[in-house]
Amino acid sequence: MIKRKILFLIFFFLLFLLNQHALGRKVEGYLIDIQRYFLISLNSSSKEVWILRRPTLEEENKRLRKRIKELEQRIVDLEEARQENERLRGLLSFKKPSYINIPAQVIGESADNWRRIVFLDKGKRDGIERDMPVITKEGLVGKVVNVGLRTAEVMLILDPGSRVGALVQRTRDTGIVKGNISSCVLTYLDKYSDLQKGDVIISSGKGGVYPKGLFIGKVSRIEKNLNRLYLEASINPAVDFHHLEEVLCLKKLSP
Amino acid sequence: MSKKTLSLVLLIFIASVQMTLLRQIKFFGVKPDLLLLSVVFFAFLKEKKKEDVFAFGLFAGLIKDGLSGNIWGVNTLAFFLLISFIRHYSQRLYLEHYLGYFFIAFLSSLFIGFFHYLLLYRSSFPCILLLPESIYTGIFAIPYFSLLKRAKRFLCQ
Repeated sequence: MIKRKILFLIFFFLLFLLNQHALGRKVEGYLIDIQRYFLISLNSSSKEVWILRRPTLEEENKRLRKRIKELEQRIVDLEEARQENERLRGLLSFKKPSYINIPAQVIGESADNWRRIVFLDKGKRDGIERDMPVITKEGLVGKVVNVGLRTAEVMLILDPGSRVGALVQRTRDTGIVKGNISSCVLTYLDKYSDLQKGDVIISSGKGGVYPKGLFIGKVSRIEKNLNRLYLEASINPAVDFHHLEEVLCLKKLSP
Repeated sequence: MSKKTLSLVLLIFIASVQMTLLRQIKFFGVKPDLLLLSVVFFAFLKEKKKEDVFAFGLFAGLIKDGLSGNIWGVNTLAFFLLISFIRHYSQRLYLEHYLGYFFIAFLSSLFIGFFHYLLLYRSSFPCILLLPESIYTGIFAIPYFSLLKRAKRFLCQ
């Protein structure tokens, strides 16, 4: 019994030790790669599940009902393709000098609710690297934190571990945008800054991960507390994270 | 296929469902924790050997750690402790009634939440998620446990 307890202790010690080494990331990368096939098939069928849930027309004739169902399905498919086309066109029109865009599709998200992480269908093989900024045409999504052979893990700016150097576009004051699961908070902003509701927040380019000028969101609430050293504000992110489907990974061109 | 390989494949499938299909039924920004529910259900199977239950919990925890972006070991240790607790009080706890399903799933989810709080976040803990997640997981446990019980009965026949 004691021997078993010691074994468990050693197991958990080694497991936590994994976090200190690159081996942990490697294992994670392999695991996501294994999961990829499940994720892709389930992700596409998840859309179909909701299509099937739509109310069907009540027709008397069974054959016609079936035909209508088929046609409805085709319309939905075409609509889906049209919307995807539109989104991709919008995405591809986005250009950032000295960066190339790698389009990718979101195939899943974090297995627990305490992190805001999504998985992409592109990995090392497609040129994705760690710390690449990820965007949509609406604005900044996050950065790549782990890469598998054919999948990548992206930490969204909503994640509690995310930090983005930010700039208030109107006043040019700098701060840091932190994630808090449901939205973002702008912190370390000058206490006497003339920040106003609706001000646009962009990435400052400091830190070397995110390029300057990526749209993060707009100020929704300002917390003015004179006892604090810095000003804090809530931000409404520009990207709709609930409906994240296609994204662009920005790869820096070597000078 | 051996039983252990089968349960590993099953766990990967459950994790995939959690990461894809359950995204569509998010409520207050949270989705129910299927992996946790599976572990709880398995821990309540009195006819299962202790070793098998712990192995199942450890696999589930490792998969969840690997696919959630958290540091390795958090979910594994949490599942391990949860199983130890359930097995220890298995003579007094019953997974019999819908209310029982709800409360056991609710409390298990709360326990996992507090475990994350202690090990990971402290000051920046997203408390706003704790109750919705636990309640949603509790509600989701009612059909899920019923389904698992039926599947178990079917397999036993």
